[in-house]
Amino acid sequence: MNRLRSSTVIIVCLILVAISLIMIYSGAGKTYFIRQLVWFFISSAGLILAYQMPRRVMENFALYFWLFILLLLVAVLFVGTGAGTRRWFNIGFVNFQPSEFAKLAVILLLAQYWANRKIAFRFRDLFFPVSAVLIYTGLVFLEPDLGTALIFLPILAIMVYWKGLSLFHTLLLFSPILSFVFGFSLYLWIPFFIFLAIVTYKKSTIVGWVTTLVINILAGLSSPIIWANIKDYQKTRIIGFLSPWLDPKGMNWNLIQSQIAVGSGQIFGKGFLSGTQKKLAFLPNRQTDFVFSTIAEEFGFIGSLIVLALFFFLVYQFLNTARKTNNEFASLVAIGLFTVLAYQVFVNIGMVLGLLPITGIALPFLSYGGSSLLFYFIAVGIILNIRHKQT
Amino acid sequence: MSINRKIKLVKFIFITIFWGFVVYVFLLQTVHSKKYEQMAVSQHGVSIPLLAERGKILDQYHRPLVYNQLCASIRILPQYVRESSRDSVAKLLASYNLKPHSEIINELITKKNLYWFKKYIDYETACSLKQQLHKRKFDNSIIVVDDIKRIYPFGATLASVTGFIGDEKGLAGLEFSYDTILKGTEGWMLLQKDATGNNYAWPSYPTQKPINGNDLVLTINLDIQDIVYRELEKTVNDFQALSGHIIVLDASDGAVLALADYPDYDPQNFKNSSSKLWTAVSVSDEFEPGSVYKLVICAAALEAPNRKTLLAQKYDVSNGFITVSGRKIKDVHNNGVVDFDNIFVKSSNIGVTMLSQNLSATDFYLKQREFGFGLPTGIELPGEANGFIDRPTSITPLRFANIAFGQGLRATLLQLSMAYLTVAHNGELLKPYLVKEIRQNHKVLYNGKKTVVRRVFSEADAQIMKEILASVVTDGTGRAASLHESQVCGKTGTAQKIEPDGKYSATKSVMTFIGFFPKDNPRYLISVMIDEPKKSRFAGEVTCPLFKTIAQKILYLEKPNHNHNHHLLTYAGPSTN
Repeated sequence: MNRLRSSTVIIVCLILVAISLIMIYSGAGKTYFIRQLVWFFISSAGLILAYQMPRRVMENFALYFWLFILLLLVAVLFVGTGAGTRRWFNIGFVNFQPSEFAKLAVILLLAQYWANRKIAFRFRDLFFPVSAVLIYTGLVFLEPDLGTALIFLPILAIMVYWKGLSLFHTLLLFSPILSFVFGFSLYLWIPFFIFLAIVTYKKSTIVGWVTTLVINILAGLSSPIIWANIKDYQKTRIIGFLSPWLDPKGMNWNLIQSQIAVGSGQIFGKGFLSGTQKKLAFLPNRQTDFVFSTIAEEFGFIGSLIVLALFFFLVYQFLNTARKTNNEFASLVAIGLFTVLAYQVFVNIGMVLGLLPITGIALPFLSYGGSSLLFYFIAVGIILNIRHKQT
Repeated sequence: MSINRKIKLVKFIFITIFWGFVVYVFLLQTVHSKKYEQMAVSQHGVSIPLLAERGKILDQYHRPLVYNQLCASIRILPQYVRESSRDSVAKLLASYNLKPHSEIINELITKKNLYWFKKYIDYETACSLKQQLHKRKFDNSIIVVDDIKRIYPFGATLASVTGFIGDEKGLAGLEFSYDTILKGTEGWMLLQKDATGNNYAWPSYPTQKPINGNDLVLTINLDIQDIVYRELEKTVNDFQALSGHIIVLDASDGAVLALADYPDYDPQNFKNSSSKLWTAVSVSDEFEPGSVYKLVICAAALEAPNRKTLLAQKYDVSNGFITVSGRKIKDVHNNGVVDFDNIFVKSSNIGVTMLSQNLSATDFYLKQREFGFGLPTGIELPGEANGFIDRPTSITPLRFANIAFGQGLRATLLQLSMAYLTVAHNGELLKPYLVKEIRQNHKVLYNGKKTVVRRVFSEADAQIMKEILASVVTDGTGRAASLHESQVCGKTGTAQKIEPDGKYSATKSVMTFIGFFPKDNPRYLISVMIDEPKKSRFAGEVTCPLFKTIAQKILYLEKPNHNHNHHLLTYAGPSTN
């Protein structure tokens, strides 16, 4: 049974990669197709390697791996390339994006740190993991790559919750971040702050209560200040998300074109190679971030449903793996990988459908991009490793 | 908190989000999809019009009077002509004799946006130029496009009938009144436009082929039209008249065989002519007809209750004038004592006045209306005038007398022609027509037919009037119109024009002659009108000879041994289907 499910996981991944290759070939041409194909072979090797790797090795090398990636993230800020950003190392014929592997490094480090250790809502229990996450977040944010930088926060949240922190403490831990987000509007921030004040007053000491409130006030205040200092294209994206039809030809072009592509696909789609939005270049980034709209346009609701179902199956298998293993390190790694996969699928599709702001995040397995594919194949390798090697 | 509760919460959240997506995608792609579909199409769909070919206009023997010629036009995007290549572009275009070199250079410098460099150049030149432009890579800025030119091979000869087009729209004549029938239906082709504005054909997209316009076959006989125009031109010039106008009708059915104005304009270059020339004057202009109008009171008298006494009576016009309400009405010659017929043969104003004093003004008014005066005849040409006749309630004895000899009313030459045609057609008023057939390729969609409007007087009275009109030509004012070949019935008219001060002019007049032949079973009716001839005061000297020449030439055309390869027929126009 277990083996059957595992081979299904592999097949689902291969189907997704096949869809991806077809869309890349039709949308971007032969060169991109061959590059992605090469990455597919590299990624397959990565999957086998991850499957074969003893878990003890992963645990022992987690810290060194984290430090190595830290080095790369710092280095990429100096020698990296990208359109107006510094995200990639240019190695020969391909680009390599270290932030993809930062996700893996954080998951392994947090899992290694918390395995066989108790957790409570205490400074000394949380300082190290929170720092490890925030350092990465900050570095990726500086590239700048807001979409990827934000991934680290849900990883931390779900893993800390999974490890044993209560829902209340998890929310409390993230309250400064929520304050920061709500800080953009006083009408949101004031009710949130009052709610927080009442709930924490009942459950914590006076010192803890005051500390929480002070931190939240500072976080709430910082958002207008940061708003004044972020890049224009980021501002545009946020405004565009809040009112997309304000300026359809300007800043919300991507969002609207994507919605038109998905909507005009109807039930059965326009047919392979017949997507007008895609073919006529109205759709931006049609084989990277917006690959889902291309599929939705050409294969319709049926195509969208199939892709969503495939992702649902994968995400569900990741979660099941985290639940079933009795090794704590393995369980934490699995839940971390589950979080990354689910987050990227939700945020990407949410963005393509116009439900979330455009943060520039890839759709796992489907978007063109080697580092991302390699990361997800390694993730699948680790998941299968956990399922089959109960040690 | 147990791991089971945690897993339930995480599972719940992620399953909820998934279902949320499924529902949202479903709404987007099914319920709201029409909206997005329309947005997509409006964004990338481009409709290109496919031009329909305008229908031809043919004469009754299907000889082309108006047709189309494939040609080309040149547009220039001056902003894409590099400064360094300006001279060579100008040299190339000048070498085709399109415009002088310096003018082209000047245009390239001063014009900023796309403009028509030259319209309607001949097709072979355009093909050769296109090749040269392509070879020298100027074809991105000098654009040669196919175009269709409307050709009026007979120019002014037929201008009043055909009219002309401007910007693909009929603006005068039949081109105007039959615009919707001639122009056909434009087709379209859907293309796709990409985000950068390039167009692509898309095989599965629908294309609507254009439907070419219908051809008009006219009742016009090109040979007669040509004779009429040439003779009219000669007379107008000989007598230094302002203008001349002629209508030739088929006396058996009211079909217009020829209709000409001189001077007229060239429809090809209508912009260089005065807009006053753009109408068919015999249809659109009203004038005081003068003596030709005596036909009406003649008919009224013949149909009157006291007709017997009127016909038997003698009319003493030897006094030289008659006083009506204190005003003197005079004759030109002393005609002595005349009978009923001779009132008209001698064209006596006094005689006509005497008749008017014995007739009811209302009956006379009704007779005018029965002849069709005061109302358009319904011919297919645009801008037809109604004419004007007084209401019976406002007619005084003096006014009645004036109207009886053709003053104090306005009529068109066509209305007068139709009145005389009533005599030729034994008392029945016909409707004139110009369009014999409307054809779509070989299919006839419409057939113009003889239309009887009403009976105006009895056949017996028609016979009496024919005799009177025949006497006008044999013994009266119209002697100069008589033919050896055939007996002509007709009537002259010399109407003094009104000066700006409201008085009748002593020198300026409108001369007319309306006649038909042969007397028995008339076939042709010719109305001639000459405006302000300078060298003669009487219609008998101006319009009658003109009538005679035209009539003779028409009869010559009819001769069985006549070779139908008349000079116009040698014209090598395009095939007429």
